[in-house]
Amino acid sequence: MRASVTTGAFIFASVLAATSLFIHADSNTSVSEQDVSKVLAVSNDVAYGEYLAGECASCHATTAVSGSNVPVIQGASSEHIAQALLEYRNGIRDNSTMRNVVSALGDEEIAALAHYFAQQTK
Amino acid sequence: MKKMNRRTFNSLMGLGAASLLSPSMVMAQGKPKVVIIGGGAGGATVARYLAKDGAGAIDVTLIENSKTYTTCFFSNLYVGDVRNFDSITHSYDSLAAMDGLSVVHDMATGIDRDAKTVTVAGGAKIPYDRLVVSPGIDLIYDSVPGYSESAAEIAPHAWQGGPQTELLKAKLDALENGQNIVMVAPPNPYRCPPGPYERVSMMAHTLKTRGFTDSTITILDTKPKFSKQGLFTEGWEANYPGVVEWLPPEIHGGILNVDAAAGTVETDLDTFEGSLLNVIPAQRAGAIASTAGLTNDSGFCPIEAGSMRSTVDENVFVIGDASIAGAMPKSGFSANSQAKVAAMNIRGDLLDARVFPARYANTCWSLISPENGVKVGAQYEAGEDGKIVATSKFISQAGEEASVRSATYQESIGWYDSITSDMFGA
Ligand SMILES: Cc1cc2nc3c(=O)[nH]c(=O)nc-3n(C[C@H](O)[C@H](O)[C@H](O)COP(=O)(O)OP(=O)(O)OC[C@H]3O[C@@H](n4cnc5c(N)ncnc54)[C@H](O)[C@@H]3O)c2cc1C
Ligand code: HEC
Repeated sequence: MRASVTTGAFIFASVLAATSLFIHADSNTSVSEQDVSKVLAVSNDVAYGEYLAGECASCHATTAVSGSNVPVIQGASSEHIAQALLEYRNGIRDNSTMRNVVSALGDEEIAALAHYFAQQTK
Repeated sequence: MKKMNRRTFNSLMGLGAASLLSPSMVMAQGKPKVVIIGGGAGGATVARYLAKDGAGAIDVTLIENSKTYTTCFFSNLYVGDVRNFDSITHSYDSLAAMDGLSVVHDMATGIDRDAKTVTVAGGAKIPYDRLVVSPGIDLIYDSVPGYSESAAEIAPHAWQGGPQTELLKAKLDALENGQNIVMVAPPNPYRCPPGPYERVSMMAHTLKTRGFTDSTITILDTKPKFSKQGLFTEGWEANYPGVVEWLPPEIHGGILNVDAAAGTVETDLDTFEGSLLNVIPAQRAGAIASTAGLTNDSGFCPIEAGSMRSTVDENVFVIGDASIAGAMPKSGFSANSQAKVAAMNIRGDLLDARVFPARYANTCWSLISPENGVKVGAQYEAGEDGKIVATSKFISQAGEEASVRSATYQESIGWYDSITSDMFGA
C-alpha cells in the first residue's frame, strides 16, 4: 500500500480565515423588542424584500419538508423574522449557514425581508 | 394536468409546423420574448421567475432536450442507497402549466445573434428579445488519454444526470468483494468541486454496507488538492479505514492511458486495475455556447458580474456551469442564484422593472456517511474588478460532534426540496 497524502494544514488555514469573519464586537447581547421595531421601521420596501427573498427560497420551502431542519418562514410575523435575523447577526443564534446569509444583510435588508415574508400566506 | 400537457403540445406543434402562427403565438405577439436554452438548475429557475414575476407580461420559451431532469445534486446519495432514482428525477409539467411559459422539448442547434433567433433540431426558428443560455457542461473526453464517449458506456463519468448515473450505480451494485474501484478525478474548473469526493464516500459506504472488506477505492487525481479535503480525509479515515486512497499527480506522475474494456488506468507510477472505473474528464460550457461564439479561450462564457449578461452580446445572459462566475463554484445552488439575478435584469430590460444590486449565494453540502454531512458556503457580489467576489465564507470544522453533522445533513434535505421546487414549481 502506498501512503495516502493529506493536505489538512491547507484546510485548517482556510477554516481559521473563514471563522475570523464572524467575530463581531456586539456578539451575544440579547435583541430587545425596541431593537426589532427600530429595524422594522428602517424600510417597508416589499419589492426589495421580494428580490432578497429569492435567496431564501433556495433553502426555505413553503411547506414543511420531512427530515429537514430548515423552518418554514412564509407568513411568520415581521417581528419574528427580524428578531431571528438580528439574533443570527449578533451570534445569539449560532447556525453557521444562517450566520453567513445574514452577514450580507444590513438593517434595511432585514426590514424589507421581514415585511415581505409577513405578507406571504403560510 | 390536462392543461399542462396541452400547452407543451401546442407549443411543439406550433414550432414544428412551418408557420409560427399557433393560437398561443398570435396572442403573444407584441409581448417581449425571452428564450431560455437548458432546463436545469439555471434555466428552469429563470423560466419560473420570469413567468412568476413577469405575471404573463413576457412570453417565455424554455428549450430543454430531455422530458425529465435528473439532478446531479443528490445523485451521489442515490449511488450510496440513501435516495432512490425517482426522488432525484423531476418533470416539467408544472412549469409548462404556468401562464406565459412554453416548454419545448427539443435540442437547440444554433443561435443567430443578429437575427435574434434560436434554431431547434426540429427545424423551427424561435425569435427572442433576450436569450438565456444555461446548457451546463460538456465533457472533454479526450482530456483523459484513451477515454471517449463510447468508453463512457463501460467506464461511466456520471457527471451528467440520468442514464450515466444509473450506469454507475448498476456497475457498483454488480461488484463483488475484492473487486476494486478506480476514479479519475477532473482538473479545475469543473461542476461541483466536492462532488467526486462525496461520490467516493458514498461508494465506500455501499462497500461497507455489503461487507466488502477486501475492496478498495483509488482516486487518481489530476490536481494537487481538492475541496473540503481535510473534512473528507478525516471522514474516510474514521468511517472507511484502509478503503480510500487518494493519489495526486505528484505521486502517480500523470494519467497515461485508460483502457475501459480491460478495466485499467495506466500512470507513470503503476497500472491500476478496477472492475469499476469512474472517469471524470475535464469540462467546458455546453456546446451551444461555443457554437454561438459566447465562450472565450477557457471554454466557458465571460459575463458581467452585476447581471450575468454576456460580455459578448448584451441581449444574451449566460448562467450556471457555462458561465465564468468569478469566485462562485459551478454548482446547482450557484446556477439557481445567478438565475434570479439574470431574471431581474431581463425584467428591467424588457418591462422597466426595478433592478437591485446583484447578490449571489452558494452552499455545497456533502455527505461523508449517513447522517454525517459537511458544508461550505459563501455570499457574493459584483466586485470592483468586474468579477464576482465572495463577501463572507464558512466551512464545517474538523472533529465536529455527530449531532452537528446530522443537523448539517438535515439542512441539505430541506435545501434539496426547496431548490427543486424553486426550479420546477412543484
Ligand atoms: C455528482 C454531482 C453532484 C453534485 N452535487 C451538487 C450539490 O450537492 N449541490 C449543488 O449545488 N450542485 C451539485 N452539483 C452541480 C450541479 O449539478 C450543476 O452545477 C448544475 O446542474 C448546473 O446547472 P446548469 O443550469 O448550468 O446546468 P444543468 O443543470 O446541467 O442543465 C443544463 C440543461 O440543459 C440541457 N441542454 C444542454 N444543451 C442543450 C441544447 N443545446 N438544447 C436543449 N437543451 C440543452 C441539458 O439537457 C440540461 O438539462 C453536482 C454535480 C455532480 C456531477
Ligand atoms: C443555505 C440555506 C439557507 C438559506 C439560503 C437561508 N436560510 Fe434561513 N435557515 C436555514 C437553516 C438551516 C435554518 C435553521 C437554523 C438554526 O437551526 O438556527 C434557518 C433559519 C431561519 C430563520 C429562523 C426561523 C425560526 O423560526 O427560528 C429565519 C427567520 C430565516 N432562516 C430566514 C431566512 C431568510 C430571510 C433568508 C434569505 C435572506 C434565509 N433564511 C436564507 C437555512 C437557510
